[in-house]
Amino acid sequence: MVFRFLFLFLFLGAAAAAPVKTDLVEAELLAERTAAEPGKTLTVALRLKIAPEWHTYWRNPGDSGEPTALRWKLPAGWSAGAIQWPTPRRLPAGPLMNFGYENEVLHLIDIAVPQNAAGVPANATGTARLAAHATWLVCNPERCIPEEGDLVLEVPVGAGAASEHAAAFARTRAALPAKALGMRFAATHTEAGVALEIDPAPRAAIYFPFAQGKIHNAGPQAWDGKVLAIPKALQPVGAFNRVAGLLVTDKESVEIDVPVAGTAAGLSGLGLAALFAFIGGLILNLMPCVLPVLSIKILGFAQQGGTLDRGALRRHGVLYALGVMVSFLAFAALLVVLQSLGNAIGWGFQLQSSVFVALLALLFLVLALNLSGVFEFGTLGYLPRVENPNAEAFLTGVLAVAVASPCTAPFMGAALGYALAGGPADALVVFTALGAGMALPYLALAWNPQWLRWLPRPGAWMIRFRQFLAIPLYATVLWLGWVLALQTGLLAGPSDWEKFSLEKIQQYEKQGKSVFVDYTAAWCVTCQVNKQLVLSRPDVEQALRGSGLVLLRADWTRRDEEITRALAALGRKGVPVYAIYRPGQEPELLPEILTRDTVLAALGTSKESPK
Amino acid sequence: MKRFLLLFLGFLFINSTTVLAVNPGQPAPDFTLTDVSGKTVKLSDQKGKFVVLEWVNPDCPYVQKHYNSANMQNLQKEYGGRQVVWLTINSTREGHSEFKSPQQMGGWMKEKGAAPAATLLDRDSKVGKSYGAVTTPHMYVIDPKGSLVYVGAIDDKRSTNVADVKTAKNYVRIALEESLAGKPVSTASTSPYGCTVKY
Repeated sequence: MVFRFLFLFLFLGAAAAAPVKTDLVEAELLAERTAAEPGKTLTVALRLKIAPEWHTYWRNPGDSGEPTALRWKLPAGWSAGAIQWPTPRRLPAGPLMNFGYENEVLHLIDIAVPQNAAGVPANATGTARLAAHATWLVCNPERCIPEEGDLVLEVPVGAGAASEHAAAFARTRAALPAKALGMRFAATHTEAGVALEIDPAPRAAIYFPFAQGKIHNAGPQAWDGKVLAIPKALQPVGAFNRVAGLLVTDKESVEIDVPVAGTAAGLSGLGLAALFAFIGGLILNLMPCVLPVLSIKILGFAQQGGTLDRGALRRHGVLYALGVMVSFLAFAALLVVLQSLGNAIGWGFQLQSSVFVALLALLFLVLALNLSGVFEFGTLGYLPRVENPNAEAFLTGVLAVAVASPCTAPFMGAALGYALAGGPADALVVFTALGAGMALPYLALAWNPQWLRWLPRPGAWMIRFRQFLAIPLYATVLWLGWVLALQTGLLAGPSDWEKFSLEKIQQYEKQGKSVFVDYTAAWCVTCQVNKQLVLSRPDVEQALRGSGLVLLRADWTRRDEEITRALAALGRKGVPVYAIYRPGQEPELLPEILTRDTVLAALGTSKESPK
Repeated sequence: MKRFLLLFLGFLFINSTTVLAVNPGQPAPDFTLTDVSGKTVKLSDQKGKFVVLEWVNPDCPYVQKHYNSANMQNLQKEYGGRQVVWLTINSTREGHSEFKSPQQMGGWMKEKGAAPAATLLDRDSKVGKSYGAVTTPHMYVIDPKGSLVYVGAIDDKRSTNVADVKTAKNYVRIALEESLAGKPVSTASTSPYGCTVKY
C-alpha cells in the first residue's frame, strides 16, 4: 500500500524523468499531460537547457554543425513523430553562419498512443516507458562538442490532466512556424540568387532554408519593403529552384514552399518558358491526336495543287493560324479567370469533364469513320466543313487546339506551369508562343505550297493514306471511351498503388519513409505511355517494390483539388509528374518522359541512410 | 524566332559568368603556403597530378572522427601511393584558441600516423576563404589541369560517430576513383559537414 502510494506520487504527479546533465547542456524529456491516453496523441518535449553563449542546431544547421536528433525506443504499437522545430536564430561564426538555439529550447514530438496501450506496458506500475537516445552538437564560436544522453520518460497510461509543463508546451506550440495563410509569394531568379516577393509586405523578413547548399547562409538578405533578395550559395549543391523553409517576419514565423519561376525546366526566365512553349507547340503537330487531322488538311492542299491560287492559300494559312492563336489565348484567358476566381485547375482540366470527353470521342469517331471512307462530307471530306472557306480555315485551327489537348507535349508542362504560376501577362506570352509553335508548320506550308512538291503526286495512295490515318483516330476513340468509363465509374481504375493524399505523404515522412508519387490521369497520353512502357515493366516494378519507397498514385482523371494543390507545390500545372518525396529534402522530380534507366537511377539514390 | 534564340544565348551567357565561388569545373585558385617543416608548397607546381585539399582542425570532433578511425590517414596513404598529391590545410586564424603552431600541428599529424604530401598552415585564413572552405573537414579534388572536380563533404554520414565511417559513402574516394579512371565525377558537389573553419 505504501509502495503503491509512492508510485502514485512519483508517476501520477508528473510524468518526468531525471535529466541528463553534461558540462554544457541539461537535457530532459517532458510530457504535456500527466498520462498517456489510449488512442490519443501525447506531446512530449526534449528540453535542452544550454550554457550561456553556447548553442545547439536547427534542422538545417547552416554552414556547419549538426541537428539535434532522437532515436526512440517505445513500447510496441507506440510511434513518435518528427521533431517540431522551433524557429531558429541566425548565429554568426566569423564570416560563416549557423542556425540554432541558445539558452533553452523545447523540441516537441507527438507520440501516437495505441488504442490498446493500457494492456501493453506490463510493468507493475502501469506506466509506459518512453526512451530516447538523444544526440546534439553544442558549440560556441570557439569550439564544438558532440554530446549525447539516454533519456527516459515514464508515463502512466490512462486519462490524465495537464502537467506542470503544459504552459511551456503551449508557449512553444504557439511560437512554432505556422502555415503561410493569407500570404502570397512569388519567387524569381536574379543574378545574385532569388528575389522573393511577399504580399502583404511585412516590415522585415528573413529566410531560413530547409535544405543545405542553396543559399549563402552568411550573406545579407536585403528587404526593400516588398522583395526579399536571397543570395545564392557560393558552393551550391543542386539547383535553387524552391524557396522552401521558414520566413520570419517582424510579426510571425511561417513555413513556405514557393517554386522559383522558370526553374521547373531547370532554366530560368519568361523568355525560356516561351521558347519551350514554342518548341512544345511545334511538337504538338506530331502528336497522334493532331497529326491525322492536319495531314488531311495538307493532303487537301496537294489535291487542289494548282486550282487554289496563291493568295487564297495564304489567306487560308493565316486564318488557320489565327484560329489556333485565338483558341490558345481564349484558353489562357479562361485559365486566368478561373484561377483568379480561386478554382484549382491546371492543363487538361477540360478533360476532367466527362461531357467534354464524350464530345471529343464522338468527334474523333466521326473523323475516323470519315477517313476510312464509311461516309463522305464532300470532296475535301473532312470536318469542319462549312461553305465559307475562310471560316473553315479558322475552325480547323480551333479544332486542332481542341484535339491537341490530350497530348501535353514534352517541354510544355514546365512552360505551362510557369505561365500559370506567374501573372496573366506571363500566361499570355507563353500561350502566344505555344500557339505560334503549333501554327507555324501549317502556315509555312500555306505560304510555300511548292514544298508540297516533295509529296508524291496525288493519286490512289492518298485514299490508302487516309484510311491508314484513321487507325490512330480509332485508337483515340477507344481510349477516350476508356477514360469516360473510368470517369463515370463504370470501370474501377486498375491500381495496385496506394491512393494519394497529402496527409499520407506527411505521415510517411514523419515515419522517415520516402514516397514515390505518380501523378497521372487516364486521359493523359504521356502518362499512359510511361505507365505501360516503363512503370509496368517487370524489372522496374520489382525495383520500385524493392526500393523501400511507398508508392502512391495520384489519379487526376477527375477533378481533385488536393492533387491540383500538390502539383502546384511542385511548380506544375498538369500531368504527368513523377516525384520522390524524401524526409527533410526537397521533392525530386523525374522527367516527364520516363525511361527505365532514369527511374532506376532515381531509385538508386533513394536508399535511406539510417541516421 | 531570332528573338527567342537571342534570349536563349543570353541565358547561356549569364549562366557562365555569374558563378562567384569555387565550384566543380572551375580552376582551383593558386596559393603558396608553408608546411609544418618550413617548406614552401605552391599549388600550381602540382599541375599534371591530381591534388586533394583537406581542411583540418585537430580540435574539431568531426576531424577527430576521421582521424581516430584512421579513415583520413588511409585515404592519404592509399592515394599518395597512386600519385595523388594530398595537401592537408589548417586555416585556423593565428590568435584563435585552437590555432596550432607548426610544431603542434606537425606533432599531432605524426601522432595520428597521417601521411599527406604536406601539412600546410594558412595562418591568415586567406586560402581557406579563397576556396570558400566552411567546415572541417571540407574536401576538394583538383584534376591534373588544375580544375576542381569535387567540392564538399568527405562522406554522407553527417555525424561525429566513428562507427559511421564504415558504412558511409565516401565521396572523395568515389571522386578520385572515377577521376583516375578517366571518367567524369558522378557526384561533384555535396554540402560539407563539420565544425566551422575558425576564421
